[in-house]
Amino acid sequence: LDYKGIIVSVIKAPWYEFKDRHHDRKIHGTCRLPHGYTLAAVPRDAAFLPQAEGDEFSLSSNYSAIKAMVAIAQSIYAGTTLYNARGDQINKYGYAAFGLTVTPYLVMSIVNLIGALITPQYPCLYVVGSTVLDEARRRNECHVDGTVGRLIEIEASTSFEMSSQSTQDTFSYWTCSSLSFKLSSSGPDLRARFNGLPIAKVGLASWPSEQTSSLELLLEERSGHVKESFDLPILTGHSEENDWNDAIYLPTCPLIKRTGKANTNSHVNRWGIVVYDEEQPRLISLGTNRGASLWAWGSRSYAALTSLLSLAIIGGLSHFNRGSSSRAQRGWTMAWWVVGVGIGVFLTLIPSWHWQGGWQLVMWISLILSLGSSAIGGFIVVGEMFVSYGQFIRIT
Amino acid sequence: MIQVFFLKTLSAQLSIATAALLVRAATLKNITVSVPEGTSNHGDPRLLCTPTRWTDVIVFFLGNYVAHAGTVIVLPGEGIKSAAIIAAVSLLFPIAGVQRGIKAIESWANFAMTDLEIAARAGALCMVVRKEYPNWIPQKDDAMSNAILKISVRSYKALLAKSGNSLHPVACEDESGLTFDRLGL
Repeated sequence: LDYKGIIVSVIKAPWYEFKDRHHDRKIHGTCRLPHGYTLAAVPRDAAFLPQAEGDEFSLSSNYSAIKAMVAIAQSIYAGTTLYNARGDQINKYGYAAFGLTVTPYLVMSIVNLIGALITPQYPCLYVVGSTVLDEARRRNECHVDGTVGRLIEIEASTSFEMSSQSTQDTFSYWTCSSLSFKLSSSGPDLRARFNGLPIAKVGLASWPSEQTSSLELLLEERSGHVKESFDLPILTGHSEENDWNDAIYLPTCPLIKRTGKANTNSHVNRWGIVVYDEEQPRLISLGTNRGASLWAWGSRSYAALTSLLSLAIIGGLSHFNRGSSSRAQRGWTMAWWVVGVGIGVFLTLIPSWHWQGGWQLVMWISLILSLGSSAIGGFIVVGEMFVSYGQFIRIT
Repeated sequence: MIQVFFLKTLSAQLSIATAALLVRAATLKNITVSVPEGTSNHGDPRLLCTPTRWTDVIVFFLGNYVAHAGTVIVLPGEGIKSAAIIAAVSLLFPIAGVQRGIKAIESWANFAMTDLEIAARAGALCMVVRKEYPNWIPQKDDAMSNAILKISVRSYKALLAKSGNSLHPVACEDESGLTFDRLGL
């Protein structure tokens, strides 16, 4: 038996799911990251190291007065259009009335107005200090300037959970979570030095039966404070080159202290789940950013509700009567609305517009154009109705 | 939207039930005024509908639809390309901007205590993270926390066999600390 070494591999942090979403965004200051690092959004409820007493810290942001004024003006104009649609226009065109087609625009302008008042605008993104940034700075070709604040990082607790779908009898492994180590080198070799390593006892609790597809492993933390210190040679090659796939797994980002409902502690305990199979080595972390996904669904349902609000207004005013509208008028205005809601809900699934390469841009544009035809058709029908109906004055 | 000023061209004499604009609803009386050809009341004595001019159509579209594109929320540091696309899509489909609007409201950003927290809620902060395997490469003096060590029994036996070479138990509280007997394996 010859021991070659261990690999160090970065895997998704179970406590924070983020997407690479900063293409096409301006970053404050300089930000040139070394190989192996990227930017991710800071959780919205992150906590920060307090500023030193007496140090005023301010981050420039602005409220777009023009945007707010446009939103107010649009809301008033569209509100008037909608108000004037009552009565004769709706009697004539039913739910296809041109005045009703402004409803989603009105609703969204109001939403945007409130949003613009609650959330300031930032001309660029700011990089926040963290241990990973410090780590990146120790590497060559890292140049990050103009960071703001610093995140509070916490150590995950040493809970264990293990499961395996392996049916082989060679699955007993040592695992531990929340281990800290430092890489040092002796000569040309890189070594990982572990201090204060909590080692778990791993034993077989039950064999897999035909009913259960997963194995339960009995885990027992060693009592007392363990103070072993040892080091392991690091392999920097691919995992296939390592016969036994021994590994140190690192999370993509440290565990960040958060203030919101997404209580970090509930995720911490799920860290450190190793599923090991000699044939197919893989690591599954059951941890999910539950708070964030709930939030995402909340956001999505609000989006759906906002869409439905415009439908409710249209229905409330027209009672969905057809009036004497033509099939084309009803068809185009409704297709416009339905596609619009579809796009609104679809966009909640992708965070921002980004593309790699020209073909994706072409794909987006052709998608927008093909769907946009319903809106263009809607505009034409509205224009036609508007012209044939005429400008009116209500005499009261 | 008073069209009285535009009554010069192509006027036909039409007798319509028109009241002075400020008269109370109950009293409508017949007077004779000049209105453009095509004026009607759509059968409602309380309406005066004059033909639409092309400027009316433009104002209608600008005020109701195009103006909305200017209200769409721009993300922090968002590039002109991305902002232009979302504005264009919002012009066609206003609901396209709903996620941004709802997030901006839901973030409750201005109610945070510090500027940093406001910025975090607004989504204006980012952090450096490691890229997933195989992009990231370890380097001397890296200190890691919250890592997982996965090592097989077979590996450990091999390490023990070569012990003194690859595995150095530097300090053990008790010497039998790292044996399989102790661990029951």
